[in-house]
Amino acid sequence: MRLALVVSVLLLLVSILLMLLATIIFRFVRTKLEARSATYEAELRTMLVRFLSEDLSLSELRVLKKIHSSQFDEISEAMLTKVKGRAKDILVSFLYSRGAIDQAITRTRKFGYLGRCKAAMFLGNVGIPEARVPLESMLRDRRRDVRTIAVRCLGQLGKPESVPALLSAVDDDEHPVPFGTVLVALMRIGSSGKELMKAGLNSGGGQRRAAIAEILGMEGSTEDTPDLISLLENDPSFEVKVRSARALGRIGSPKAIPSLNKYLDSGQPTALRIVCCGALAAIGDRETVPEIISLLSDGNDQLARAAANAASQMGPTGIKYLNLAATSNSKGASFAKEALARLAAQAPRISQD
Amino acid sequence: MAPFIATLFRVLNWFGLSYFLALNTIYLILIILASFNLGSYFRRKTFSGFEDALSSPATLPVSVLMPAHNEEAGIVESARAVLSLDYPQLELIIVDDGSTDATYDKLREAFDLVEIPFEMPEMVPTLGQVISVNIARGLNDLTVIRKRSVGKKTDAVNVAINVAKYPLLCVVDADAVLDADALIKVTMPFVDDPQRVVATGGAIRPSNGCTAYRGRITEVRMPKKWLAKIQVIEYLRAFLLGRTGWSKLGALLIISGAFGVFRKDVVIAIGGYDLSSIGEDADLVARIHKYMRALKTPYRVTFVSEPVCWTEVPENLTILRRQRKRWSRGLVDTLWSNKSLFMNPKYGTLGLLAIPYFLFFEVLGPVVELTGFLLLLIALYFGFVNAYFAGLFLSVAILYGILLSILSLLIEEISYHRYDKWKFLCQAVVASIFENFGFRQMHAYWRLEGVFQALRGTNRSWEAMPRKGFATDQSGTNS
Repeated sequence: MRLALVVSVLLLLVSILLMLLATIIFRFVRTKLEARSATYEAELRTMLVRFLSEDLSLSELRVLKKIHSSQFDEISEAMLTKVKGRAKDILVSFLYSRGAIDQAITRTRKFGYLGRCKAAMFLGNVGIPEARVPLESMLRDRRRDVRTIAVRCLGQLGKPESVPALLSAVDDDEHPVPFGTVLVALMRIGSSGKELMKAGLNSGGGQRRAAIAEILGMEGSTEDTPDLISLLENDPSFEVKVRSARALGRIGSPKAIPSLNKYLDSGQPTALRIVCCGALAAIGDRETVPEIISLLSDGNDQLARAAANAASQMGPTGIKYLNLAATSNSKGASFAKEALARLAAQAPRISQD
Repeated sequence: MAPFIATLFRVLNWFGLSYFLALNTIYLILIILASFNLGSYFRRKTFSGFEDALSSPATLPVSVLMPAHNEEAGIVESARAVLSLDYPQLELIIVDDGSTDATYDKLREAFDLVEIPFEMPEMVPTLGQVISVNIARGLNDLTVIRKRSVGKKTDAVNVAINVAKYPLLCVVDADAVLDADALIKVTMPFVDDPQRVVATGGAIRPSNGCTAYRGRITEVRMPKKWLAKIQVIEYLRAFLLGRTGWSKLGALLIISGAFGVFRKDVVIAIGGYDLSSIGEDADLVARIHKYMRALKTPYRVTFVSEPVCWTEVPENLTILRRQRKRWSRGLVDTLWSNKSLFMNPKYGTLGLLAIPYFLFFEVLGPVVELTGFLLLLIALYFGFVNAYFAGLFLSVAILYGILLSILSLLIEEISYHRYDKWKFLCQAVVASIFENFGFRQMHAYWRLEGVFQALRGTNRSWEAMPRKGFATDQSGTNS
């Protein structure tokens, strides 16, 4: 018993002291390193800015940078996201000359996933066309983190050639990537990749078409209306239908009205009816107001409320119909009153003073 | 007879010692698991893509639900802070649950509220009558609901759920102060894994002593009072690291009522908050687990350790005792309501590990802890155990406890490093030691009181804690 006591007390006390010591040492080292790096960083960043503004030559820089080369590389890499134009070109050629870009391409195949993540980030920030192929191959990496970063960096790169790879990544069940990250990447690529996106409408799974519908809606071009109408009417995926309806609302072409109207029918799922209602409001054709107002008496309160809010966004015609509904004895009167009250509250207040 | 009593005492004392050993070792394992999780989180933080989430159309809009009962001291600041969070699309719904102070008046004055006619949907059950629904003039994303109180926070939250229009619900206490990026960070799992994530919780830290300006913590400091300093350590060990550990095991049972995000469709499907529940936060999570398991759909309930919700902790024993008794009652209530989870392999690590842990170590813990110390004293007095055994018992119960607190401090130092002054570190070390002499035993007693109250079925109303609130001035230096 005595031995057990001595051993346990000693063990625990030593552990406590070691933990305390580790905490203090960690705090001390951190404080020192932070102070040191703050001093160096300011100096090195100034040097780099001078170099990028062609105030300092490469040979002068080479002499200076020998002192703290690793910090200098880190600062250069961090600077990639902050500079544009000529300065970025200078920085990229400097990193080329340092061999940093080739090293990063090699690192995309290394074992450690953090190394691969860093390499992908670096290549995305550098933004050179050669980065596209290694980044696309990283979309099938075994680690989700790496794949996600590759998606993000392909977006940063902004090359339309990446669109097919990104769309395939959305559908890849074995190597899933976050849908939202792919959307942002496709948004960044923008209209230059639109034709390749539309080509993807006829193949692959629902996630791919949902992503395309979303992006087409954001692009807001009326020429995409027929494709989106076709998705709304014919696609088997519910998510694609919802996103297409929303996209049609964003584009605002009156050509979409008949299709959207069709999906207000009571036989359709409520979520889709609500989105179509909002889309019609966004298009803003006053001819559709009666159709929307009729939804106020729908059995589903969520839809009725959405219809009232939609009508309130449709200008004088919408308001006129809402006023009529509000004074009626129908079930939708309360929703009409609510929408009108909300509208009144949003109107800018005129000072009485 | 005497040898029998001596043997009985020895057995009970050994049981007590083994109990403390098991309890502290479980915590050690949880802290180690949490440290792995934190390590991985920090390694990936550079690549986390919060900025992308802020601009992504796939980031789901959030309805922030804030039940408030006599919160005039800080309600306006809290509302402003929520409305200015870094998040693409959010609405704030404040439910003034029968406040007898100027909570509503302050809101009306600050946001120019106007009453609107509102047909209240009944997606989840509610009890208290809604008096009015108000929206802010010129501001589309603030709704203030006044209702009669039935003494239940859950009722106020359910009313807010019925009004919420967005697919994610974030429940926040009215006195809570969120970091500007807290909401986007706590919802990141929904962005990364939208098919599976159904609920996430963020970390809670004591705000006492911190400096705040316009609803944001501007300087993190240790509280002035020792009782609050001890709670800093306790929150760090139990709430931050403990919950991270359980989350790593896939067995997170508690998402704090002060800061959690839930998928609205799931919350509605389970009928919202249980109006008869006292431990509403744990009860909701337990029912989410049950519902998702019944659906046989892969799902995740996860804890994100970085987004911080700062909350005022009690600085006097009376209020702390009341709070801890309520927590204890709530836990008993939750475990009883969800007893089907206990040792049920269908619920995986939650049923086989977390629920038994909460029952044996959190609910029954105070009984064993207090009787353990009492029996040790009796046995020592009558010579049933020797001083060496007593020393061994105390080392396992107290020194091991100190070790866990210091280990938590070390992990905090390596990871978040929130208390950056040497003075605060020294205070934290002292608090880690003193916590085990008196506070822990007192806490066990309060928990025991809570367990008895739960067994008797008394006192089920929500008790708002008196708040000091954050005073602000133009220089932003007041706390």
